[in-house]
Amino acid sequence: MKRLLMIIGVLCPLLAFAGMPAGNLVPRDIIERSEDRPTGKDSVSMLLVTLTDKAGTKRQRGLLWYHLAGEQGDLDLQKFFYPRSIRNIATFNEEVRGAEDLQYLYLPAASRVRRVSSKHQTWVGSDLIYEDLQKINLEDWTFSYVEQASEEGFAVHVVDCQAKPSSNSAYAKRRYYIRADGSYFPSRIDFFDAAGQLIKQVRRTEVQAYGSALYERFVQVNDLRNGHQTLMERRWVRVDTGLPASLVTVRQMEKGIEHFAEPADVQRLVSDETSRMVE
Amino acid sequence: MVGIVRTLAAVLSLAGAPCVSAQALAALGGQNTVTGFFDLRSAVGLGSGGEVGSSALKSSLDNGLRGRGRVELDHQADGLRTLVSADLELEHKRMRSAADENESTARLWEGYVEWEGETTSWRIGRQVIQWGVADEVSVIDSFTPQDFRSFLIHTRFERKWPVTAVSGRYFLDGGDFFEVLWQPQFRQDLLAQPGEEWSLFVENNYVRGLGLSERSTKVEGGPLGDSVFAARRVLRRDNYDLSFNYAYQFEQMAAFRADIQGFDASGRAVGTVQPYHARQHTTSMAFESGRDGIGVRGELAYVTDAGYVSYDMAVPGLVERRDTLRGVAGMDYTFASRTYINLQYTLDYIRNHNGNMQPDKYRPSVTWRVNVPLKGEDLWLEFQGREFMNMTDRFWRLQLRWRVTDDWELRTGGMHFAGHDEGIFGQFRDNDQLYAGVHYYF
Repeated sequence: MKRLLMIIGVLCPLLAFAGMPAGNLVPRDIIERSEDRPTGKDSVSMLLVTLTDKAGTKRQRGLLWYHLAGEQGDLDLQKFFYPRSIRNIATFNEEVRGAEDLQYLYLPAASRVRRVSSKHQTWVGSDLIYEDLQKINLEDWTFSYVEQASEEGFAVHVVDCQAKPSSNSAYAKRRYYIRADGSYFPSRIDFFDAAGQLIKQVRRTEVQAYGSALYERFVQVNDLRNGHQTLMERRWVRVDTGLPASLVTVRQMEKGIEHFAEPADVQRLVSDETSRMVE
Repeated sequence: MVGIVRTLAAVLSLAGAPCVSAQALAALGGQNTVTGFFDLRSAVGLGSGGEVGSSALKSSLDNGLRGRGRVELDHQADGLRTLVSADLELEHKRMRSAADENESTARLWEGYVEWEGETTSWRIGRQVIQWGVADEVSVIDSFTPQDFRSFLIHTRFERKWPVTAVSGRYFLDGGDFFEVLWQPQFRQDLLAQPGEEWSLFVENNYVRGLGLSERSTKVEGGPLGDSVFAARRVLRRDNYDLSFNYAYQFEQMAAFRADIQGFDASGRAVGTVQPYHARQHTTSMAFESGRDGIGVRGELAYVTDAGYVSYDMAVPGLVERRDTLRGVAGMDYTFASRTYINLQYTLDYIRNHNGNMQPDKYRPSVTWRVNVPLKGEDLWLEFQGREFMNMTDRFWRLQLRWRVTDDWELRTGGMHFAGHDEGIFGQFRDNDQLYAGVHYYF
């Protein structure tokens, strides 16, 4: 009897933690740590975006992505330089902790910075929507641990995030595949609609460390509803360069790409990439 | 016609060599960029048979072809930016069996120097000014001219015309800024000449109907002479953006003061008509916000001395001046990430209105825009319109837009107008048209 009680005593805690990740992390913590993973104090990246429709027709976009971590929240500015029809369009995301982020769109043709009201809108014709550029607001979701699995050769925590009505999310559920190696890097995210159908997948591959920050080389977004695909290739990234705060602002959105001077050789890099894309 | 196509082809070939141009300009030092667009549009007029709301076709069709190319040189060096852009516009049209008309215009579009400091920026020269937040109709963005020579063929942003001005911004924390603008000389809206396809009914009536000769346009005097001053304070907050605006301007659309001396033997009026622009103060505010995925945008303006046609023969020039409250508010929403809907309600309220004035005391209207993707991000169906609620006065545009490549875009569609002569759209009820065009970016 004593032996039986001992076995139960050992098993009960294990049963209680079944479905929980190692280290007693609750699923919400995993998501929080993933969202707050180190990305450097600042970074500048050049991204090449390839849009492919169901018929295989490809379109390319080129942009610079400026990121600045701040005490009030992160700031992100995306400035497009290719193709010519969308040259100088800019989008801006300001993280507002505990609320929806502030997002702006600058359209050169209208000479106007416009507040993005619907985070459900597509982001410059890609398979991402403005909501995808925001960090998840933890209060608007409920979390459950699914399992530990393997993704791209790495052990990952699989965590489901169920949208509360307050989230106003375009998705009813997200399933995160977050690396279990302590980096909390989200290798994959599956997006589901209210009917439980998988509608979109985001995969991040070829992750490299830049100091404590991790940046992926490729982000592949598949919209399963229309067979459309967005592939974002990070051509280069420079982390912790001491990016001035004035360069990641709404004001900066209105400046033409030819007036961007960070990093110092950015004009040459843009010119080289543009030439390569035109070819 | 062949000449037009050849010239446009030459513009296009120039556009196709931006790299060469940029290299040549690099010799000037700093960073140079050459960019622009080329636009070719052909339209066939259908008309409405002249009846209010009628969709009957005219017996003869008008046709026209318009091309427009723009080259922009943007030069940056040592904190100073210089931008120069030039337009070439060519037009060919045949109106109601009249002789062919060919026009070509080459002009400076924008040309300014911009200086950027840490907290301030100044722009001096010929520049396009865009204020306000509303999409289709703005009651704030009314102190610099628009090109109405083709009425609503172009979008509001495409219609905006550059003016010579000095504008400066002082930037505060969090994206807030204060802006001032001084335009040394007022520039009126660009309007079609009497007898042209898009000429205003009131002007046509005086000049072509009554046969009065039109004198050159005048502006009323005031403390700032012919100049225009405007200022605004823009605030950006977590939940809303807000701006407070003021403009000391002239009424963009001229009023017509008739001076009838008498009548000749054939009964035609003898005299002149004087177009003039009255001084106005416009005090306004604009807001933008978003909640639950719905964008809410609005503008409210109090405009002094707005001019309205009066049927009271005792009123000098048959124009009454009244302070007017103008508002526009609406929402926009995106369904399924791509289908965009924008709905706005506008209202003009005329203070001290009397029964002899041509417009009603309240002039409510609804504007809308619906953009539906038909094939990915490449093929779009767009339906846009405005409908006044106190009278028949209507504008519809149905357009198909196809992004063939990243640089080429095809547009085709139709425009429909209905209403009475005194209506904003009714006066153009004979101008229903089908059109097709191509737009190339370089």
